[in-house]
Amino acid sequence: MHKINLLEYVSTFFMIIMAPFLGMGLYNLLIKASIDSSISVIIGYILSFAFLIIFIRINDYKSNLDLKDKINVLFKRSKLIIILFSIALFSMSLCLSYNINNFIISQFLSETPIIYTMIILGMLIIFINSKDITSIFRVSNFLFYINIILIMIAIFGEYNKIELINMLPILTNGINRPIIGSVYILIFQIIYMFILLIIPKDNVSNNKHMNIGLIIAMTLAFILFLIIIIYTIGSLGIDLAMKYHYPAYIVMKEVSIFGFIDKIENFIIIHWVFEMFILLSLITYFINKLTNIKNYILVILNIILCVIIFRNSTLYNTITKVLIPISSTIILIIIIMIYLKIKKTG
Amino acid sequence: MKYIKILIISLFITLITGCYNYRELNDLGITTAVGISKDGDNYNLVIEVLKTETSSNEENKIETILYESSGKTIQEALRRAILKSPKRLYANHLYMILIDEELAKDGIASIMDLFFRDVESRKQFYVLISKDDIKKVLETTDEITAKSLVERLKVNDDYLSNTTPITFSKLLTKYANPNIEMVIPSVKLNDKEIVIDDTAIFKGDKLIGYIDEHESLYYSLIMNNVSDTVLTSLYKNEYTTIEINNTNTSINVLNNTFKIKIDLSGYIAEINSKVDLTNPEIIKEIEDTFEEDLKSRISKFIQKVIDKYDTDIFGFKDLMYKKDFKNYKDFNFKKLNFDINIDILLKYKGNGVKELNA
Repeated sequence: MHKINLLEYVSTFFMIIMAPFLGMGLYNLLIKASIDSSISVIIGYILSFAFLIIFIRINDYKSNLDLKDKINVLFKRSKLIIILFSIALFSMSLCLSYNINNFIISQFLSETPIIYTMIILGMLIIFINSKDITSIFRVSNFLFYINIILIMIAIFGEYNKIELINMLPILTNGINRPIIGSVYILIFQIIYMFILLIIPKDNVSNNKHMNIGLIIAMTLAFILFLIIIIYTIGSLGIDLAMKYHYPAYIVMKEVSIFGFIDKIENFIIIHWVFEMFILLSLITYFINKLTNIKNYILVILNIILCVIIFRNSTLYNTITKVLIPISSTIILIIIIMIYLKIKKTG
Repeated sequence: MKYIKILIISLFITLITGCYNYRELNDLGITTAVGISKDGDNYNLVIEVLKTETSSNEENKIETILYESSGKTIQEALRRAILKSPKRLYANHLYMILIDEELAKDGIASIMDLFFRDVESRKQFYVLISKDDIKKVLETTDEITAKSLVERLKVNDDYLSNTTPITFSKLLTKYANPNIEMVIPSVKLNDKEIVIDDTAIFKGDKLIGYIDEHESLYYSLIMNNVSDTVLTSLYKNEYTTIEINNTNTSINVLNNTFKIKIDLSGYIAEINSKVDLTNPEIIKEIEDTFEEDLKSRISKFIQKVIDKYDTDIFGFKDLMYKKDFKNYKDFNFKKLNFDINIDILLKYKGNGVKELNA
């Protein structure tokens, strides 16, 4: 395996935790934390360091091994753990996959069956997975730069339409709601950082600066979460923001640069598609490495199950609210078990 | 195997990309305005669509065509327009929707819901109330009535500020907020010409009354929406006009008292009384006169809205919710106190130093 550049690794880390936010991440956060969503992001940022510490500790343990080998070394019943981990992650990938495809269908291609866009996205995932893993990271790094430019365009094209007073009043119902919101950020987004454990640390060049790189990437992601929330609530007001399925996209419709470049929301929103593509590709790679199930089988299974399970967006929302927390909890339990075992073995 | 893969990929790319959902430009009925009224249980629509066929007229101007349709719901009526139009309507370039006054009095919840849900239309189109028959309003010109009306609204807003143009997205923000009521400008026919008229005020989704053009200006001043306007007052028994080109309004709330501070700056545009304009005290006197006059008018206007309409178009409740939450539960619209402070700064006197008719 060729070595992965540190910058590619860190930018992929950023893409992974950003990806679910514009879809179900923001939607669920607004529902749970309402006007206190910005507080949730701040609490979530602090809590996510616990995840990062666990990630770093597992990554440092036998740094020449990937997560599967580490599980095999640490546990006697490693197969069960691997199967559980894979099923949980695959369930989450179903939700992610439907989320992005439903967005494309509902906003742009109302007459096209969702399976068509799923097949196109699936083909891309199969294609990139047929290459070396370094290809995913190189593509991710390239898309990261494009995304930063697109996000900056959105930020500067919208800043004068924000009414900061819409962010008030905060914490009127105590701290419970923002804490629940922050937990949602962890289980809907930050949890995906652990799929990078499938890359042995030794396969990343210049990895002695990896930790600081991950902290910077996570900080940048949380700053953007906060900006997106301020823009969404500041522009739409909390009452309306909570009624939209994709509120951030609605906000982007008002982006105007220099007063005459407008109607560019479809151009900007492509960054979310890029992020989801990278995340879904890495999940496929991860499950493939863990279970040896071929990539194309995983993708086909994903498409078939999505079509069968999520027959409409209401059903999707209902199922996601249960499926994601359960899957995330399973993954988190496994990760904590690995962490504790590593700690025990010293 | 490699060739089979390439063949499969090529087939997929050609067969299942956007071509599946394609709509030729020629097949689209580009809709610029939708007029909505109600007759009994039926919604009646008048839809202004661009004529995209090559025109043979000399001036090469863009013409429009009106289609009428009806249905039990607005969406049904919109779709039934296909019975008359050879093209499917395309709402992405919608300039405005025009709502019949009587329908607005019954409630516009269904209109709000339809366009909120609709993914095709952008939410940046304007919303207007029509006091006259919608078809007659849209028939007044064979050009794009919606575009010319919207441009007139914008010019009015830029230079007079006595109306409150509102896009659907902004209206939706107010509609979704339970603490603020909607305000929509209206139009009427005056000798076969469309004119922008009073501003309609709502309670919930129902139109309950109008405020006139002067009151609309006061409303815009309170809401900090004035970019340029003129104010006329009696000064030494003669009418004097000042032009305002910079405004800033801030509203603070404490213990049920709303402190409204309006800062205006501009210049003397027309003065008919014989005074020495080189004397700073005279300038101060003019400023004071306008400040007192405007304060009195704004106070009366707020009181009128409270007493006559009992609708919070200013969003005082929303402001209290956001800035003074601990007193929010005791909010009573009828028992609010106001402390209005107006500060006018007249910086210039135009070309003249002294009055010409001294």
